[in-house]
This record gives sequence, C-alpha cells and structure tokens, in this order.
Amino acid sequence: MPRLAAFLGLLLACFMLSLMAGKLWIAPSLWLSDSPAGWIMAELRLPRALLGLGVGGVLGLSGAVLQGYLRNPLADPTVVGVSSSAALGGVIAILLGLSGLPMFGLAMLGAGASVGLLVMLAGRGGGPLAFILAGMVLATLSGALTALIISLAPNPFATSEIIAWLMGALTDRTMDDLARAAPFMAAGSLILLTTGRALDALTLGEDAAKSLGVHPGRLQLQVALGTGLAIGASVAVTGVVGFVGLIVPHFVRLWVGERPSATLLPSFLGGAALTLVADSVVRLTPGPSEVRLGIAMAAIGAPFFLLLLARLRRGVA
Amino acid sequence: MICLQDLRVDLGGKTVLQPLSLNLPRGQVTAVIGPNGAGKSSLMRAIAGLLPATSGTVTLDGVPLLQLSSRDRAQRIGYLPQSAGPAWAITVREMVALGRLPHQNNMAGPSAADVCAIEQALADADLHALADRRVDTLSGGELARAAFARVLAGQSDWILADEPLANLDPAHQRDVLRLLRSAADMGKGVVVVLHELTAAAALANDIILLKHGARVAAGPKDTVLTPPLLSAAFDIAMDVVQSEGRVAILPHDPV
Repeated sequence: MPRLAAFLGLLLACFMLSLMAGKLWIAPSLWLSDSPAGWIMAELRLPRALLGLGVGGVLGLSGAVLQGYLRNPLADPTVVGVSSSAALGGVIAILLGLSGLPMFGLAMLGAGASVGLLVMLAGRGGGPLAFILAGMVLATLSGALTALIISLAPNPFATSEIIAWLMGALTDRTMDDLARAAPFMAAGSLILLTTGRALDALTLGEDAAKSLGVHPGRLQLQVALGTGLAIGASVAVTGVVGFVGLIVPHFVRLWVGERPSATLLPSFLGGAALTLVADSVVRLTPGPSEVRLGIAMAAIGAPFFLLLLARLRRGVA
Repeated sequence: MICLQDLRVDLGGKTVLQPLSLNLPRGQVTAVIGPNGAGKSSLMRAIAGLLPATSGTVTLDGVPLLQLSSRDRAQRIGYLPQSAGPAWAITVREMVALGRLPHQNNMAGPSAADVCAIEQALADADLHALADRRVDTLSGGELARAAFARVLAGQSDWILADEPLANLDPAHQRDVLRLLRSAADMGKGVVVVLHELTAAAALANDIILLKHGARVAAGPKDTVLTPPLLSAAFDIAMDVVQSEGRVAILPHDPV
C-alpha cells in the first residue's frame, strides 16, 4: 500500500505540473481566478490534463494486462490490433470530413470490429498464442487500409491532417471529448482490473491456470473487451500514442515485483503520470506549433527503455 | 474415489486414449507409466478436467467431473503440469500463494486460512528459507519443490502430478517422492506420471501401464512390474531386480 500511495503522489505531482506548464505558466493561485489565466485553465488545461490522465492510464493498464495475458514483455495495445483498428475508423472519419461525435463513433466502431474479429479469429477458448497471432493479422490489415486511405486522400491537406492525427496529441481537446471518452475508458479499465487473479494463475501456464479454475474463454473476452473499450476510446480522442503501454509495466515491475495483478493499478497510475509529463514537455517546446505527443513519447520512452534493457541484460548475464 | 468409465480422448482427430475404465482410490499413490506417446499426459489432463472426454465419463465421488463448477473442481483436484518455470519472476511465496486461488474471491485479500495453508505448504516442502527468493534465481530442484508446494497449498483431496521428477538429481527426486508419499499417507489421492520405473516401484501402490493410448496392465505394483509386461510395453527386454526388499527396474541388455 505505501507503494500505491507513492504512485498516487507521483501522479498528483504530474497532474499539477500538467496544469501549470505551457507557453504561459499558471501558478495555482490563479487557477480559479476570473482572469485569462483562469479561463485558459478551465477551458484548455483542465480537460487536457484530465484526458491525458485517462488516456495514459488506460494505455499503461492495458499494457500491463496484455503483457500478463500473453506472458510476453513486448506486448502492448498496438500489437493486438485494437489501436490501429480504432485509428482506421478515425482516419475514415477525417476522410469523410467528420469530426466530434461522428468521428468518435467511427473510431469506436473500428475498435469494436477489431474486438469481434479478435475473439472470432482467436477462437473461443483459444489460448494467448492464437490471440496474439489474430491481433497481429488485424494490426497489419488495418495498418494497410490506413495507408491505402492516406494514398487515396483527395488533397494534401487531408493527408497531412490524417498523418498528424495518427501521431497522437492532446492539443485543444475539450470537455466534450472528455465526456465522450471517459465512460468507455472507465468501463474498459474496470473490466481489465478484474483480470488480475486470472493473470496471476496464467503465470504458471495455461493448463495450470485452468486447473486453478480460470476460464480461458472468459478471460480472453475480458481482455479483448476491456482493451477495446478503453483503448478504442483513447485512440478516438487522441490518436495513437505508443510506448506508454509497452514501457510503463516494466518500470512498475521494478517497484512492485512481477506478479501481474500487482502491476495493474500502478501501471494505470504510472501510465497517466508519464503521459502528463510528456504532454507538458510537448507544450514547452519552442516554436509556433507543438511537437506531437506520440513523437515526444517515443523520444522520452526510447532512452528510458534502453536503460531498462541494459539493466535486464546485466541481470541475465 | 475417482472413477473412469470407458474414458476415451481424441485429440486432433486421433485417438490418444482408448476406452479405459479405472477406479482410483484415495490414500494411495497410483503411478502411470509407459513409453513416450503412450497417452500418460492425456490421461492426467482428462482426469484433471482439462481435456474433454470424447466419450465415457470421469466421476469424482460419484459426480461427473463436467457437472462440477470449475471452482469446485479446482478446490478438490490439484494439478501439477510438466515442469515449466513461471512466466514472471514472482517470489516463491507468491507462487505458492497461487495454489489458494480456488479458495479466494476475486477482490478480497488472503484470508487467515489462506496464509496458514501457504505457510504449511512452504514448511512441508522445506521452502521457508527460500520464501522471499525470486523464482528465476532458484535451481531446478528448488523450483520443482516450489511448484509442488503450490499444489500442496491448495489443500485439495487429489494431487495429479505429471513427471514431477524430470530434470531432478537423486536427492531432489527423493524429496519429491517423499512429499508425494506423505500426501497419500495423509489421505489424499495421488496420481503421478513417472518415467523413472525404479522410483515408481518404490513409491506407488498401484501402477497403470499404458502403450499407444491403451492399457497394457493396471493393478497392484507387484502384478504390473513384471519383466514380460514391462518388456512388452517398452519394446525392450526389462529386468526386475530384487535386493534387500527393494526393487530396481533396468533394461536387460547392456549399453
């Protein structure tokens, strides 16, 4: 529990930072004031920070769940095709000139379709191996369709809009975006959080897990549905943000140990914290336009991951 | 009592277990032996309820296994698969605690009974000194003991162990054999797949000898561990050597 408190404290600090940081630094004393600063806070910073918290949280959580389910430290929401299918829905929406609720709906439709296909392709009661193979097929297919749509885009503006959206960002998100995404992210997270015990049992292998009373089919459905709801909603409002789901569980394991159920909640909190920091960095970059969040995340994430890798290799050698 | 009635198992369109009827009583060790591919593991998985019967039934105290909830089944039958280390570097205590899953509610923490069972299992498998070690730092023998303690912690009436001696040195083989024996002496039903025939002779009360998915012989060990039956099953001449009340089973021909 003290560790969970530490994660909560870290998240709170990152949340405060995210509210303060930007081209205009806003001190806490001005947050509630009736001034341009207070207005920026209410209309821009707060929805952005809350969305960053939710998006980063579900990315970290689903990364931890998928790594536990697939017993593979390289798993994250992008490898099972949910992110790219939701992105495909979003890209179609941009092509059709849609935004707001219709775009959100199309992205969720993409995520929903991927969950259905994932469960169908992997087969009810099929094991994690079938699941990851089905996921890779879906990711490749939706990636190819996205590329096709980009190449078919009617004008360069549409192309650049699509590419920018694909790279992920929290810029200019409103309370409406938050209100649309939050229920799905919350529902997905709750479903994912209930998988802990089954993931623990799976540590011993599929047969042992089944002998301990785990239903493989039910677990697969929980993982697919939880990821679909949470990641689908997050991609629908921010585009694809990589790396969080991959690296956060690794850091969390250094702190709380490797038992999968122990990593779930801390991965949510850690993913939220990392995303808020990355989004703060994004806002502080000089120049008229911001660096895309997905790019910043990769720039921050890759060196950290290398460090972790070096550590792991020392442990193995 | 676990009863098999005309249990047949097909896998991928191939019959891996011919119709087999058996009674497995509690309080004793039943060893399943036979050459590679004889259907030993399939039999174990079918008894554990992990592999559906193609025809025939498995009943536990008169109730068909498929009618039990998976939780109920998990509480009553502990299953130790062929050795594979845990996927994550959890601690020995965490690994042993997994044996309590069938007794726990999803969100609740471990109960006093859980803690007690975990400590008891650690003690029985002589693991207290290693309890906080990560499983990836254990030797093969220590890992095998931890895996066994995980099953013990479940306090199931039945223990099904698939090749628990694989890759163990003689001292650790003896440790695991003693744990299996004492589990049976405590009244549990123990069914164990063994390739080590001499160990089977020392440990088991009853022996099931399989070949090509069919029963060659089954019954008290003295009636099954005979040179003609073993030679027929393993396709090489086998000797049963008796010395000072102990039995060793060896291939007849020199290397």
